Amino acid sequence: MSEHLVRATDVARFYGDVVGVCDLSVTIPRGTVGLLGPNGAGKSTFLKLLVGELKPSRGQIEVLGETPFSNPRLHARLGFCPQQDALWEELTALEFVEFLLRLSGFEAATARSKGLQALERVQLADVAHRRLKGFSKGMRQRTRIAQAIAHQPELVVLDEPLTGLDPLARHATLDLFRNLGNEGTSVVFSTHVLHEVEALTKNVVLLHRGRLLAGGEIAGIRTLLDRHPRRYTIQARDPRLLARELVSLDGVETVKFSGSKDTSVLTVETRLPDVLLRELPGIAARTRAGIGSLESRDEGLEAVFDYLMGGAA
Amino acid sequence: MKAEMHGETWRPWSGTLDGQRLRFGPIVRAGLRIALRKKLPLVLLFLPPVVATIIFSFVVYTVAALAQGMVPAGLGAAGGAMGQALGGGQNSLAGDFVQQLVRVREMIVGFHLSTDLFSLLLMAWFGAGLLAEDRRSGAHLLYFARPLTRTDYLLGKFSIVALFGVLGSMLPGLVIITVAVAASPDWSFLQQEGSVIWKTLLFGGAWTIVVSSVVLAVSSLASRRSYALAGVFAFFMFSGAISQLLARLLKDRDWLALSPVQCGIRIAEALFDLKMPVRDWNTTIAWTSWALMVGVSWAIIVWRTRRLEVV
Repeated sequence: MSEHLVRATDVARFYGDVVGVCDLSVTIPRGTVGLLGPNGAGKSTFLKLLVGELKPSRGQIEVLGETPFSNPRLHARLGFCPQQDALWEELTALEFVEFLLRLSGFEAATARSKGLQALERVQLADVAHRRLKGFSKGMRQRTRIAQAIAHQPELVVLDEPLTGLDPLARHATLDLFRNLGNEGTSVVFSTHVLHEVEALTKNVVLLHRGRLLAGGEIAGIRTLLDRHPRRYTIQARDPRLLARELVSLDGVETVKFSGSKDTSVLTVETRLPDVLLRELPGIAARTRAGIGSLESRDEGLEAVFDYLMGGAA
Repeated sequence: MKAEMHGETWRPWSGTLDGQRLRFGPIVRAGLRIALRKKLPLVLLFLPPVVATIIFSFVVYTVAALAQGMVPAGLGAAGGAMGQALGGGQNSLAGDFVQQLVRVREMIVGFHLSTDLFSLLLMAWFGAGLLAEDRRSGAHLLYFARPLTRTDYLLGKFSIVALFGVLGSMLPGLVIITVAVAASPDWSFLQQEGSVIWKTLLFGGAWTIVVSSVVLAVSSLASRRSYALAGVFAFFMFSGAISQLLARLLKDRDWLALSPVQCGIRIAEALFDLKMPVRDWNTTIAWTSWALMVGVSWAIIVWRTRRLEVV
């Protein structure tokens, strides 16, 4: 039994002269992982390599301990929701899911019951017998997700799964992924909407122009980015007093004032956030500057992404 | 990377799969289900061969009945006239009995060739989109993320087209033969012309394989069903025209082998031993041409299916 979900070693995939992914080496443990990157970053290519739709031009990739390309044994253990609107319009939602379950090797009765269960999970049970050609974009997306989870795979790979969903459906789908994770199913999903990833997992793999930018926990990646100072905003009654003390701290690079007469905001950039956070209570007590709030805008995925993308551009 | 991933409780997959059965079966079922949902093309494409089968069945029955010196009830007085037209009167019919059976066989072959054109329409209509639409919509991503090999996939797609070919090509011929056997006295058609059955199966099967392969090859090359449909018709029409042109210009009828339809006519004439073959060109070349068409088609299909991974 493989300890890792994915292990890629120097994987490259070319489409003629076009680079899909290049020299990609990454190890992803079991759990929920977000695959991030702008359009054309190689996310879909990487996911197709994971599910064995593509063969690497170079390098090796292992998923659940097996080589994925043309490996029916592995395909029985994973579910894939592609980005493409690949539905057979004349089939009903249930027939569609049932058909793909039959391809997975399930008997007719089992395929039907599992199909219904999956459609219930994506809240499409009431339209299970309606033809797909009458479905909205969101319903079609949920149908695709249903076929990916219907056979209860170990690993579910989803390419932009939240595209086309309205806010309610988006929320429900995120809940579904969370539940899948809690049930022990590993989920790898791609997106370029950062807050979707943050809502679901702290673990990310960032791709840009086919190359791996970073991977791991968002906070951990942020720590590794010591090139970029961490930015804190402090709301204080008397920010000037506070600023005078803060500029003398190790690691502090800039201190900026902003805000109105009543509430002044101090923005501090430091390369040593630990020092700032350790010293700040003492400084506040000494200066009586009246600190109202302390906030870091750099901990989020968006900031990390911006930094990385800025560096990679 | 020092950053750590969080891990949930891992649950190994615990499903059971039947690894023995034919994986392409569900593809065929789903393909037929999709095809049968559109009623108008079904009616338009199946109605002519069905009507032709009924009419020919009646004609064959009539010829066989007249050969026995009987007048079919449905014909009434007209039966006598038909009997005269077919063989010169009831008395002489007994003497020409074997000849009448040969005529029945020739009618079956003629019918066969005409229904083959309908089967071409059927296979083109229902087969043109099978690979092209999968490519366009990205449906192959769903197929190949399942425990399905490319061979299973292609077998499934081929079976769908071939099934329509069998329905349009072989089945009507077998119906007519059944009528001829049932209408002939003492199973005489079966005894005298029994080889027509296996020849019908052989010819219908070969025709179905050739056309299905060409249709799938064109479908694999096209990006849309409509393009594939146009491509199939273009292939059959242009190959027919070019083969005729070359045969006339170069005064060598073997050039007719470039056309699958001409090959079919030549093979049918030779296979069913028609008395007056009008196209006296080499049958081996016709068979070889068919085999080559199938070979090239499958080379294209396999190549394009491997390329399906590149989207």
